[in-house]
Amino acid sequence: MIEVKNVSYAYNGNIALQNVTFSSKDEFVAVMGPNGSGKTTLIKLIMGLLESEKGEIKVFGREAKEARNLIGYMPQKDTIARHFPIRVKDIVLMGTTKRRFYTKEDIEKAKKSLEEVGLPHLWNERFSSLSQGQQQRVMFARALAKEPKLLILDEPFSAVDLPSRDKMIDILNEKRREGMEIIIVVHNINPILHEIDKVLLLNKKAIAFGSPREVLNQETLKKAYGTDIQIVVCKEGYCHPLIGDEHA
Amino acid sequence: MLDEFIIRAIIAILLLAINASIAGTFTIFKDMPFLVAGSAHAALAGAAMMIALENYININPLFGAIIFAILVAFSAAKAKQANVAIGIAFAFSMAVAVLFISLIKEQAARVWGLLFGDLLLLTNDDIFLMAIATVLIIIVCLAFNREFLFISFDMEGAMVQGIKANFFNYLLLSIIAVSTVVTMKAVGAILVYAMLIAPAAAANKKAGSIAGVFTMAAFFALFAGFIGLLLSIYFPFSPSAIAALVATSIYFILYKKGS
Ligand SMILES: Nc1ncnc2c1ncn2[C@@H]1O[C@H](COP(=O)(O)OP(=O)(O)OP(=O)(O)O)[C@@H](O)[C@H]1O
Ligand SMILES: [Mg+2]
Repeated sequence: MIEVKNVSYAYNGNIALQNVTFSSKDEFVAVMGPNGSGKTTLIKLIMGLLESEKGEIKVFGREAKEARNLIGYMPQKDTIARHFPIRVKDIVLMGTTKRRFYTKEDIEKAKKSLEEVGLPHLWNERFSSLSQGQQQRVMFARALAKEPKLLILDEPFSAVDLPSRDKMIDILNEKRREGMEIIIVVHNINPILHEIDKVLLLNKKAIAFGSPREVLNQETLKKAYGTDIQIVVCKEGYCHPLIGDEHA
Repeated sequence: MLDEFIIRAIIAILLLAINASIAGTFTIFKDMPFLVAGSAHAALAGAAMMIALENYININPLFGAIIFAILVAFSAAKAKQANVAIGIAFAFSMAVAVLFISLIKEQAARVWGLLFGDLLLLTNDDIFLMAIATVLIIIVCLAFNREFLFISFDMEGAMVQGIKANFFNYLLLSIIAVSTVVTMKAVGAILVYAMLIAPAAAANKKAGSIAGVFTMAAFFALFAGFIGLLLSIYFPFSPSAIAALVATSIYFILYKKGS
């Protein structure tokens, strides 16, 4: 459960978010918008990694910082270190616990998560020796291993191949059914358009928030991206914006 | 032949290797090698200040060195652009160092000792201080190695995981700063950079695991230190210069092989 009310944020005077309001409960929410539109900033505020100067954020009724133990986070791909020989298992295990020593259950949880993302054979590998897509799936496994109530993913598909992406989406759907809330930041919304409950269209301001059918149309997309975006209507009646889409 | 100066030098090399292994490796993992150079020069200023004030406050100049080095670590931990903060602190410390050295003309040789190192002139007091600091560093890093690894890998992920990432960042950078001062006492402010960074950087290229980096870095530092000591006994070479040459050469050899 997330409530974001009139939230603004600026980096040294440069406005990144302006008066953003939205709330969701038990939903699968996608956040989309052009580069620099404040997507990452918004989710960092929700996790209490940044503190908003204005407005209010509540996560499961608590202050953002206090809800961290309920959140599993997969950061954007370029924020993690790859220059030392850390193993895949060490990374997935990070997600399981705050304890200093890992228990048998922690190890089982971690193994299960790595299996879920289809990479159990990489358990003992060096993270830096993996492909970028594999690295992203390991980070996804780390977020899952925490068994969070809220899963926050920042561009989780940016380097993964199509079959792996579809597999990740299957996992997300399954977690949804189990009651997990999900916020996902994406450039290309099309692969998940049919799965999500809500879309937040962002460009510093919240341009629109609601179901994909309500939100995605020529007008709102133009407002967010500042240019006409081609739209394809699929047979289920959804508007697919042709942004960053390899089918385009 | 094995007089007490040599025995103290051997102990210092062992301590140096432990520091090069622990602090050096975390410096490479944190990707902040410049912190070592910055805290070494700040340490010099701190030591010079304590020597200048000796008539008023009489404590071991190494304490001044440690405090100044930790200040650099703190400014690096606080800053958004750590390397810029370190650079400024570096420049500031050098100014302070030169100022105090000019005030203490007759004692200035003691500061030069810190600049170039005096592996063969260490006193029991020095060794004692170095050993205490090293033991502290070992204990902290054993206790918090998971947190340190985690914040090196991804700071924000660590925060979401409930780790007090900021606190551990301050702690780790301070550990590196203290380690720098300890190592500096043996090899000097100019060469501490080579002795702390090169073994760990070389090990990080070669080793296949985290534990491997720590062990290999210790081994490289030990090897470099002993070659330096050995040659300095038979030839009029500075032991720390030889050690630093060996340590950096190991890196270059592995670098060439690796690429
Ligand atoms: N650490 C920072 N310091 C200063 N400015 C920042 C920082 N992080 C982001 N910004 C600025 O804030 C704005 C929003 O950035 P943000 O990373 O939230 O965008 P985004 O929507 O996630 O973009 P992308 O699609 O490229 O990931 C950008 O203009 C960016 O330049
Ligand atoms: Mg982003």
